Amino acid sequence: MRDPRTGRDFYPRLVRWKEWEFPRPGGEALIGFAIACGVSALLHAGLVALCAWLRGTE
Amino acid sequence: MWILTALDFAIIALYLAVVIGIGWAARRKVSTAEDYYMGGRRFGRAMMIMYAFGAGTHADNAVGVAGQSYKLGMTGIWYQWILVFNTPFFWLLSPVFRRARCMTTADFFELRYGPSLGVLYACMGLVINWGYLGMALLGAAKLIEALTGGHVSLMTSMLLMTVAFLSYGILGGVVAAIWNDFLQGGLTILMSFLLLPFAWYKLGGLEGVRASIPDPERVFRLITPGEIGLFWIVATIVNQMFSVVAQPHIMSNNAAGRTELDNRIGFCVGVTLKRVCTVAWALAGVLAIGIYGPGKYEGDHVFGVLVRDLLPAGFAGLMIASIMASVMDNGAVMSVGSAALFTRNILKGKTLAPERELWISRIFTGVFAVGSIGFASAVGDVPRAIRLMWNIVPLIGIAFWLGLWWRRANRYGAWASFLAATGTWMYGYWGLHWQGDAELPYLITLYLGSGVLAGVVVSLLTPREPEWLLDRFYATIWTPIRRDDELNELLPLLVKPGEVKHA
Repeated sequence: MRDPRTGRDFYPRLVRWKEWEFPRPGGEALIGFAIACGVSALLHAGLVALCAWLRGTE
Repeated sequence: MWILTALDFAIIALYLAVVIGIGWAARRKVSTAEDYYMGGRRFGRAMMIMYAFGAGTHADNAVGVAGQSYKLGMTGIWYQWILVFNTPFFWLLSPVFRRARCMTTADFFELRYGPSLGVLYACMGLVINWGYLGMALLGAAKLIEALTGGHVSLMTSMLLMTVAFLSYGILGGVVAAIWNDFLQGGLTILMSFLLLPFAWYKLGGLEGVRASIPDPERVFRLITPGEIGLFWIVATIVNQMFSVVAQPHIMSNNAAGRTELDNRIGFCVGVTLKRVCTVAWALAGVLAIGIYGPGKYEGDHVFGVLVRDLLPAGFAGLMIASIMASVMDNGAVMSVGSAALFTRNILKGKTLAPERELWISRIFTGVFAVGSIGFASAVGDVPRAIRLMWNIVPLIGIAFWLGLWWRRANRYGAWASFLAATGTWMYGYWGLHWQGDAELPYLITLYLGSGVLAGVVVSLLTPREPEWLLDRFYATIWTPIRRDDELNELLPLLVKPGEVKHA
């Protein structure tokens, strides 16, 4: 959306498509997202490893 | 037959006394409706973690996952594990709820689409909360019934839990719920892991587990072709993104914290903590295959039967208190959330005197909770109820996503997406009998696909929302709380053309 005071975007946009309002994520969002991806991947890898261990195929 | 000892009763009584005491203490912190619904938005990270964990975790989760794992093997874990892949996106999503500066998700819909969508969401929100609380009460009551060998009936334990959570929820609102979640979250973790060492010992350790479980190669796989396969997993992950935004308690889960970062950390860590407990529930179900053999018990009863047979008498009271805790923290949060929807968005409490709104909320909290017992009595087996709720909740979530990102989405498109998704879901569920695991991904694809398509097409064919309304919405939703001053300068400039602009 445009800021009526400046005529420019009120927040930086990720994409320039006319009807879409995706703001560009800040540092906190990106770092947290990466950490959350890492934790989720670790958890899932842990579950896969646990199943392999219980099957006896580790 | 298994009978509770005096020590067990003492532990249960002590637990109930503590949670009710916390509710009484919390009532002093509640003087306005915002205190009641949002706790004054003053909670730190630790409280928000346990709040997200407690509000999202209840005994029927353990019953459902253990039951499915007993039936299908470790694949049963997917009933709750799917959210492990959604969690990173929750990190991005969380600030949207705080930045909306709303008290309920219905306020959010009203802000984006106008009053009719606010009322629609409020009605759906009540149905969703009714369903979730009914499932939670039923799951816990089934566990307690199995634990006590039928000495405590389903209705008795549901009534006892309802009276207990009402006694602190009505007084202390979300403040009492969050304080109690701190205690109850710990008990829920205990409930999740307490069984495992006893089951492991009973089977004789790793070698015993491998020897006693028929076909461990299949049981310890995470995919069951024809039941829970890759399509099932991907479809339910996508479905959860539409579902999570539509759950009424998610607003306070992400907006009751002091800062946006507190809310983000609280929600994502709380959700992750639940995934860790999910591993314990699935393992309990799988170990039950080794202990009893496959198919001896109904899925819903497995967790309770394990508790009854494996735990020594001294632990039983603790387990019952933990089970009650896992439901009561939900009961309080959902009842308070439902009161907010009813009072603010259906009765339009924003026009009521603050004290009157608070008292109406308290009365409705009680009415809602008692009504949920009736809903619980009508619910069938727990995994079926979980699948049913998976289908119902996202029906209104499609309009949320369309409105959040796509400026062209309008109120007609939002209604169309809800009606199309509901109609196609009904056709798939009852007309085509797509009610099991094998058909679930097809059903999800049908109702989400038709809902999105109807929302887009109808929005394009009908008039746009006024630009100034859209600007107000997007300016609000994407402005961080720490930039409130900037937003307060901007909003008076975004008014209907022809109206006076207050600089």
